[in-house]
Amino acid sequence: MAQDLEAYLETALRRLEIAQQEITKTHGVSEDSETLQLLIELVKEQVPNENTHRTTRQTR
Amino acid sequence: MRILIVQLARLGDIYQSWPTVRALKRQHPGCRITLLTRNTFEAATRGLSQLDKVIVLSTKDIMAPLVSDQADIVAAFGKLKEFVEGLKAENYDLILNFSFSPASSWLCRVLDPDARRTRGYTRTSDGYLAIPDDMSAYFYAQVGPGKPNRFHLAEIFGTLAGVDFEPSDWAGPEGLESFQMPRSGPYIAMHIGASENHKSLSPSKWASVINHFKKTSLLPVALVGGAGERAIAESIMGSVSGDQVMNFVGLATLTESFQVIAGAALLVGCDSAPMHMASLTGTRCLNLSLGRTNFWETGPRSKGSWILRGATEEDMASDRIASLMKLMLEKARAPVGIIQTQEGTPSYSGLFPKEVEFQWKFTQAIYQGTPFPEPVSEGFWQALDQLVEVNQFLIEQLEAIKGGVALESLADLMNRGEEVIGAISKIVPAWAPAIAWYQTEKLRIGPGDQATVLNRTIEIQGLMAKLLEVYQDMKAVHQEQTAEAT
Repeated sequence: MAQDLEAYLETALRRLEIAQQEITKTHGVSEDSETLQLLIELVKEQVPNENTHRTTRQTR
Repeated sequence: MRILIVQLARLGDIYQSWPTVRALKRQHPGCRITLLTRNTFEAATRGLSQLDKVIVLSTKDIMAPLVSDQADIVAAFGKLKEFVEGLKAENYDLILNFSFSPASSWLCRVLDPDARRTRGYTRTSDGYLAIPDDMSAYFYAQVGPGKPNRFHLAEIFGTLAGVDFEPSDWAGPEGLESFQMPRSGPYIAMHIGASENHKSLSPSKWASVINHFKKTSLLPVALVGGAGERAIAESIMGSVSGDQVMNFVGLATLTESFQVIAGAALLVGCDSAPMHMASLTGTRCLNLSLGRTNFWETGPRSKGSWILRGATEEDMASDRIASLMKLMLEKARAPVGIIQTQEGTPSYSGLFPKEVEFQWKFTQAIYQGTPFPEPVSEGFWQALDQLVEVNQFLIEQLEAIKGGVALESLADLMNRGEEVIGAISKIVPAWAPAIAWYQTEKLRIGPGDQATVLNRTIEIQGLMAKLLEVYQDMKAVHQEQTAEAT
């Protein structure tokens, strides 16, 4: 189950990153593109190897 | 004043934020404090009456649309957008980011784009990390495993918020239902887990510690921990006789565990949330500090606590741990090699290698204006010459750009110079505090027109030159003394 979750999130992460690039390319930086970047970072925190939520010190 | 504290880290970090919340409320009696935390860790805000509101970031809920074969990124975005809009509508006068994470920095950017109301990490308009305040710059440069920092994380939060602590800020939870221990009399609490496995002892080691302790003491032991640590506790219970060991792991709630810790004569454990709960209840701790854990930043704060350091659990013999527990209960003097809590900052005293002491004194000199310390290695002097040379080279290139030479023609050369400085930091760690400060100040420049960026870069290069001059003068004296001695 955990592996399924990770696989879903990894796929979602790739799609989100592509969407973010497209939005920035076509509309420039906006509040929406920054909110999307926030979503990307929140997903990254849940994905192993990109996990940034372990402690404050590892999240710099 | 409406204050938002962004605390998206785990239980221990939330407990270490408690003194700051209390100090904020004391120093700004009319303020309204909201704490943003993750739903998983919300329980760690219970009993902190100075909080006016707790907002929960439910990543599970936001990401739910992503967890399917047809990941709906629009729906997930919509959920997050709604959450962010709700936060924006609160119109916070001050946003304190205690999380130091990429996600939290983007959240602060969205809530306060020009960073006028934010302290802590945020983002620049071009997406780079923005560090608006000096405390966060210090954190970025000097805090973390292997870094020289000796300021406790609780103090870092306090400084970021601009508050000074009073003893009353360190107190346990208020207004909770009392928890009745199954038996009366004194006992020892033992936290047998940690947020990461490498931070704690193995179940067999814990069992061995308990068995050694029971040879010399009749005090019962209360095991504490979360539901995820239940298997560890059961393994320990299988290796010790149960009549003197009470197992609350996964059975007592977080707030009940708080009360078990508050009533204990001693808490034994690794770097974990219960240790930070004990700092609030004033329970003495024997902290088993393993591996890359940095006790300076996250160690116990209760008066009379001890820290036993070890690279791995093999460095911590079970009988030694049991013997230290007994000594602490007898309020005996700490044996040599034990680190102890002390009043003031830094929070600990002990014997440390001279290279480590040098790095801390060097850090203090840079940030607090204390005297620059004498180096303890010859490599430091050699690196000084290289740093002076590279710094001067960079200043000349920057002046040339200011005089009209195209930036593009010198960019590669300047990058090489920065690489050399970075390499020196790794080869001669004694220089790491100064180089980390230098690199962080460069990072803080942020986006702007070429003239502004150039002038600030020259300014930082000039500050670096002044710092290097201090050691050039010291080197001259050092050489004179060496010549006289020979």
